Amino acid sequence: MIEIYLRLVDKILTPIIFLIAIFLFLRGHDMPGGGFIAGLVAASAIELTILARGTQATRDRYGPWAVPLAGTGLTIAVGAALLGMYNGGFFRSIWLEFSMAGEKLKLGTPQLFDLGVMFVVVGMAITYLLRLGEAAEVAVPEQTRLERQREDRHR
Amino acid sequence: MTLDFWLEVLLAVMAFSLMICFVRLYLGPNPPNRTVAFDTITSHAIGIFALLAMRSKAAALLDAAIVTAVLGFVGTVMLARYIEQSNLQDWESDEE
Repeated sequence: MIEIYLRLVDKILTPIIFLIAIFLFLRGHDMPGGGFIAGLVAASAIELTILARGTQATRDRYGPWAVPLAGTGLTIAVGAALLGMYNGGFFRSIWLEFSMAGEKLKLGTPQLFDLGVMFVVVGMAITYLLRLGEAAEVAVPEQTRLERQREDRHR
Repeated sequence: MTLDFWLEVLLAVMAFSLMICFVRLYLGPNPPNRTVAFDTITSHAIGIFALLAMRSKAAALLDAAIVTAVLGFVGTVMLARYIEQSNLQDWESDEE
């Protein structure tokens, strides 16, 4: 079930997709992007890993992180919303402006909330993609039907 | 003949070509044909995104094109795996 070509693609493409996810995450709020979309793109990178390396290797790599990641994300999101209480109400945003070398960098609780959403989406996606992959591998035994047919023809 | 005019022409050509791809997706006698049609449709989507980004000068559409490319690739790989694991005999009998 592990393809050589797909493993090469996975080695090259997965870091690039994660970079796209980080880029989309950092651009959030004022322009297209944000935590949810970044989480979905990261989930597609993980799906590519599952397709290339099989569910067992992927579970060894990402499995222990999935559920704690979702929990941490939910905590961060709620914490970011509660931080807004300092500024007058639930979900009010607090912005910090840094200036470095003439460039302004704005960080605030919306970014923190987006980070939480991204963690929740990634953790949930890892869980269900691994479950789906395992179900598919149980449904089809190791030797695929196509290979079996080829062997039958050779006989 | 300005750039905008040729962008319109290219969009029209892409739209027509996309329509033909959808016809193949609808008619396609078996799953491999439909998979190829799906892959072609995602390529068309990327091209149309790029042309629209040029026409409206919206750089954000290029990100949509990148994400479409990634998701289209993963989708095609999943469909290919599904075809690999299925029974080819069923489709051969359909064509007769």
